[in-house]
Amino acid sequence: MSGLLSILAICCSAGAILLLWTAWRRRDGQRAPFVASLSAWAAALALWLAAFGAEIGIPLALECAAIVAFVFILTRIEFREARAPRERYAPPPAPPRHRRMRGTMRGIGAGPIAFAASTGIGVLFATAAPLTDATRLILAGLLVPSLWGTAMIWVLASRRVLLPSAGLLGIAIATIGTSILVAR
Amino acid sequence: MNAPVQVRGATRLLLDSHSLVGIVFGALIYLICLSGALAVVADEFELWERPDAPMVMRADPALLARAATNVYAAAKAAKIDHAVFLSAATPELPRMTALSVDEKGAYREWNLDAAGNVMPRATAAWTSFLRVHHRTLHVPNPFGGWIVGLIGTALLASLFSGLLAHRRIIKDAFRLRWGGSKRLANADLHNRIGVWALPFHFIVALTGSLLGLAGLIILILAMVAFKGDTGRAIAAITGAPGIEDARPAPLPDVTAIARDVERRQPGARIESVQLEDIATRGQGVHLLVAAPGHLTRAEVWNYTGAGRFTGRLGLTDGNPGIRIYGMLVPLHFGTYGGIVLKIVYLVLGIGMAVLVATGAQILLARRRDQGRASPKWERVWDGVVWGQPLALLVAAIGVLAASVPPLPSYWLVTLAILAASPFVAGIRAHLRLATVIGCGALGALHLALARPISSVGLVIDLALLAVAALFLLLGRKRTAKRAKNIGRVVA
Repeated sequence: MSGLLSILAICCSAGAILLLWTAWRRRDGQRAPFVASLSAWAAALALWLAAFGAEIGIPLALECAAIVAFVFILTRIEFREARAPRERYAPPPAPPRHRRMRGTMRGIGAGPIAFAASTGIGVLFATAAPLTDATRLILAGLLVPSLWGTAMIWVLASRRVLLPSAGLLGIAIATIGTSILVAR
Repeated sequence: MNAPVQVRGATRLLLDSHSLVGIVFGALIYLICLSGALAVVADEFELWERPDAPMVMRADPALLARAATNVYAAAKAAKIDHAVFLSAATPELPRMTALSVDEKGAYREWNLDAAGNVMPRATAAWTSFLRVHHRTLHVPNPFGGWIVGLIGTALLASLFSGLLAHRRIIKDAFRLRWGGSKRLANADLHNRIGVWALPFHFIVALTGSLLGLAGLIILILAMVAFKGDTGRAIAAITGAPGIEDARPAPLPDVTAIARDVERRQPGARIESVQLEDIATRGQGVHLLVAAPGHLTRAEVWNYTGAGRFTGRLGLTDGNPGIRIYGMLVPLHFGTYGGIVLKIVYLVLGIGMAVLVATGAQILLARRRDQGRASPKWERVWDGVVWGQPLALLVAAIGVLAASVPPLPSYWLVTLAILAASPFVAGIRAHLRLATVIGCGALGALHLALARPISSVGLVIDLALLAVAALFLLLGRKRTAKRAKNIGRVVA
């Protein structure tokens, strides 16, 4: 039974991709293919859930969609004539002032400081969230790398070097301090 | 009027940060992604590498009990008998193995045959190397795990910034242009893989990051949230440890315990048996019982040494934290859907490695387009991308042909390629050819040497030969096309 449902779910995913592509190609603003595509995604998800339950069905639906979409895109590949790269020469850009210093500051901000801030929020969650011990710990554990990644990007994408680092340092001090007070 | 300019400025900054993470961590992320994609089918590689190890299709309660007694006797003789872990056969890995540890952490491993007799461990050196390579990059623990966790976090950061910086996410959603401008082709491939497989990338990066950094994060969280009581923090997740009582006691009756499992859950399949503080009154028995229909794949059942059931850990029906904990490894390695899902994970994992490889190529191509080409760095990156599969292949050939330890041969090839790559023109073509030859040689060598020939072994050998043939074919096509283009230019 689950085999049949899986095949149906894969067919629904393929149909959803096809409809989404139709919607993407049309420039007339018609929403029908897009809505039909969403319905097909929903049907695929429902079939995966019926076949394997929510725990396994949801990741299977996502992975199947990725594979089906990519296979579809491979069938639509546009082959072009090889083009020799243009030979250009541009004078190297002037190195920014205090490049090494800024690099070090960014490294510290995106590394230890961002880690401290994300861990601080994780610690505060693990200390104060009204959940069981294991749930608090695991959710805090999942929060830390996600927040660290986000903070890393904030520091690296910021024009100012010191501001995000100072902000993250403040978050780290505030959250860890609050956690210590709450834990007492 | 200012809003689009601001958006463009923000996109540029995000793209720069995306590039910066790629420059700093790109090579390491690529190493982890490639080895991780292969590690998904590590069980199958183990069957392929050691087809001579005894096969055990199913372990019934009597066999488990006999195996536990025999392993304990062997462990006691080796004076490494604090705890015994017995891995029963699973559909993916029809082998029975055992591990015993002492209180200082020293350990000894064995294989068991279908009668429960203890035999020397049939070590799959290359497969073990591959697993360690992915988990710790061969850096001693805990630092190896932390480094891999940090790389996972960098990958997460890269995913966030890549997604936010992608301005044509909908406009180009279905476009894949190939063969024209190299930069455009790489950008299309990079963006299509990155966007369509984003949920997979996010899940794998997040679980990998947490698995790598778990020790450090739990330690820090426990310092404050549990007032330094790391034992309590660990017990909250893995269950409370038994009460120590060193007075001697007979071995637990594993047969009776396995029958009790069968009585409570008819048709249950025991995947492993763990005996702790063995042959003492404080001993405990923990069974890993398959849990079909659950992402976690198996549930931990706890018994006292006297055979009294004390409860389940809750990986399938406990609180959300324990259940999420049980899902981390299956979600990361794709072990919850049989061999079909493993192949999906392998394909998506290789896609992830391609994502990283093309990312750096786009950066280098952009520099070239801006008139600031870095041919040396382009060659170094080609050396990293094509050198890694070759290094893994050479390590496998060394193990298979002459039992050479894989780690030195892997590093020798990797470092030699890295050192030579800035100075070798057309290094990509050379390495691609060497990888094709390596693939073919490994498949042919294994077919010729490994006995008995197993179905899994045969499939892997044929896959290696098929990959070699495919790349040769693509290479010939490419050469013919290039010759045609040159002819056209001359004409």
